[in-house]
Amino acid sequence: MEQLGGVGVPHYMENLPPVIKKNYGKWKTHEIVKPGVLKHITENGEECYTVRVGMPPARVSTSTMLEMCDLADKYSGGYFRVTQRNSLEFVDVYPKKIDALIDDLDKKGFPVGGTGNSFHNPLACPAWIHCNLPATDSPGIAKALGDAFYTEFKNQQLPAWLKINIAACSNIEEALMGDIGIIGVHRDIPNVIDEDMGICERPTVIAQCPTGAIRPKGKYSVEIDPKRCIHCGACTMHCEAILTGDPDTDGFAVAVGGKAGNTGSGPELGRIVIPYIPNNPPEWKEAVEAVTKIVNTWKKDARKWERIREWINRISWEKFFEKTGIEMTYKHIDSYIYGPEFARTDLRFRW
Amino acid sequence: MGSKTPLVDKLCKGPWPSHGKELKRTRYPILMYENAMKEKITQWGHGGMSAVPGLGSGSIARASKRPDIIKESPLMRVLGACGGFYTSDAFRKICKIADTYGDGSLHVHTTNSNIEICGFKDDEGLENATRELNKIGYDVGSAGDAIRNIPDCIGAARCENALIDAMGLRYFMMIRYIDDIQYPRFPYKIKTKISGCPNECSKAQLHADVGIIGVFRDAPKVGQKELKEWVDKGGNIEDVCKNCPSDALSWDGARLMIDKDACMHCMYCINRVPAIRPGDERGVAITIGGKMKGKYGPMKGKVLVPFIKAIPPDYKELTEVYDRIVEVYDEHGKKKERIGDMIHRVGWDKVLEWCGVTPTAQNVISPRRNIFYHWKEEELRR
Repeated sequence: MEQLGGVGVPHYMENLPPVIKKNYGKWKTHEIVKPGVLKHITENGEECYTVRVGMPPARVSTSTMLEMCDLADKYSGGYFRVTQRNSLEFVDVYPKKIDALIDDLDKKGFPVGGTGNSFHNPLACPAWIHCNLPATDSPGIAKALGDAFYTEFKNQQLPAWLKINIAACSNIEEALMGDIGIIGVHRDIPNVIDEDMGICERPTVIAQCPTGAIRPKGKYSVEIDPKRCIHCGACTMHCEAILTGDPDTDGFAVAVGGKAGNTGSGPELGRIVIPYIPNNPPEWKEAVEAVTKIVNTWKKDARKWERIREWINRISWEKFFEKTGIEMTYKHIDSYIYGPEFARTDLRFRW
Repeated sequence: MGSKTPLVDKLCKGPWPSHGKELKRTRYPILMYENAMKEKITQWGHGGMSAVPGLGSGSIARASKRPDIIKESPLMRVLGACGGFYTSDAFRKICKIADTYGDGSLHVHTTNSNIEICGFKDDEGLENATRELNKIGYDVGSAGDAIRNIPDCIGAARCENALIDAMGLRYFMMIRYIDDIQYPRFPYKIKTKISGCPNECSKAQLHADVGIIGVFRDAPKVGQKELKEWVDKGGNIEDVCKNCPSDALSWDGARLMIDKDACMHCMYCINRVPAIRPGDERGVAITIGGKMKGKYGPMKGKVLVPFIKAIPPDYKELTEVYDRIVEVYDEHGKKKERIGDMIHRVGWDKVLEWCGVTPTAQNVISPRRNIFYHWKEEELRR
């Protein structure tokens, strides 16, 4: 029998549309024809049109993907790509057929947009669909926010682009890298199932805890000191016998101001501005309300091209709290070793 | 008699594409999701790395807390194609495999650019699916304590800012390290990402243990004639000059001057003005220790090598550094400790030394303020 694996990935030239294969590395500029439609131009004037489509969060059915394949055959010679934000791009669309493609996608319920200064495709992990760790349901929140910012996705009226990432537990996926991030928060003490602890490596579990809250108990098991636990979830990730999650106390936090690019103030991780909101499926009203409040303040106050982080850097955190009406509490201050780093050391206040 | 899944039905409303609708088009056990929303807690049990029989990784196990609905539901990670480009023919075949062996639901591109095929029935299915994927040139992997999939940005394929051939470099690395991607042997996962320029579309510095980012060293090139045309058409060059983070631009009404020493190559003006292009002295920067999860929380990647040449076809300088990082981590990392946590534990100076990097001012924000220092044994004289 042949050996499995060792294949790698298809050669990178294999899946490229002809115009891209021909002009690989020879692109000169690009423009946004209209929201969701990009035109890339080469040095010798050749053009490549791309149509960007918002996709459902976390899961997509093979039936839908097969329909997308059919659309790609019809409109773009059978080529499409998945972007870093998991939206779908039909690459090298025949220019005359762009409107027909957008119509076809509209009929199927897929919006075209997410380019330039718009709300980009939200990223979500599978959470309640297929995971054991989540404190909240990312795809549900992503869907609710997608509904709320649907017009912002389809037009480019925001000051700069708005990237919202959603993660359901302290693994955070990409949530701290988005302009707005939503992160699931556990508040219960992890539950140790003593009789199952035999399958875990006790030293690994104990070494995982950043605050030294885990200590040995009996011959095989461990116990967790509730006073020291900071609910990071590090132990639950590596041990099948330590469980976390409680329907009454699980919820999510909202972070703002992450960005990856090196322009402006450089790459920054987001900061948590709303420490806890309880779960409320399937409408997620509180999540939508909180995010809308922040986005609307930013929209009103920011200069053109200013992303949320750059806006906050200009107006300062005291003005951010004042303008958004979010109340500053003890829960905004790091209670772990990084706390003192965030204490203010200058007197250049803005009142 | 109402619907069996009232909450999922609510999710199907609204203009945005709904995952509820998608799940209902597959054989996914929708009651698991319905109950999760009803009880506000996940219905799935512990998962973890399991292996495709005959391989070291490639699939994730997932137990269920509701054996009355479904007993288990493993999924398989397929390494996504370079730049995310697919042909409809190849993707149809992937869909067919997902329909045959899985429940028909896909995660089209996880954050690490894998395609996940969900809901396998048994190990035999995993093995057969892998065999069929191999036949069409795709492969599985990227699970467990291995080098993970190496996602890239679109790079030179369709981007004028690309400073390196991101897709070519990714293909080279995937082929070179495919054994390490499929056979876990490290203390914990090693995520690697490639970005073509400091705009960081693939978030290599923030999200990857090893980030490889295209950079340039000389001043940006200005096409003065094209720039004048752009300004005449209504381009706001004063605004660009004002917002340059290093204050390196000056515009006298006809020519744009760039202060070469002040420029910090952040791509701001290049993004805004089509007539400004990146310089010609190009290479990559390598950052290590970026991560989100793990013991000490989220960390940004730290600059290990600020500039190194990346020359195809063998990328000799780059792979030397990469191999060294992997060796250092393999030797010094503790079990289930990410590179970022290791740096936190042993110190930045040690890691630079182990990796054979002579420190430069580009490796630090500032020199230390702390007078305490761990002098070496040969430096201690009695």
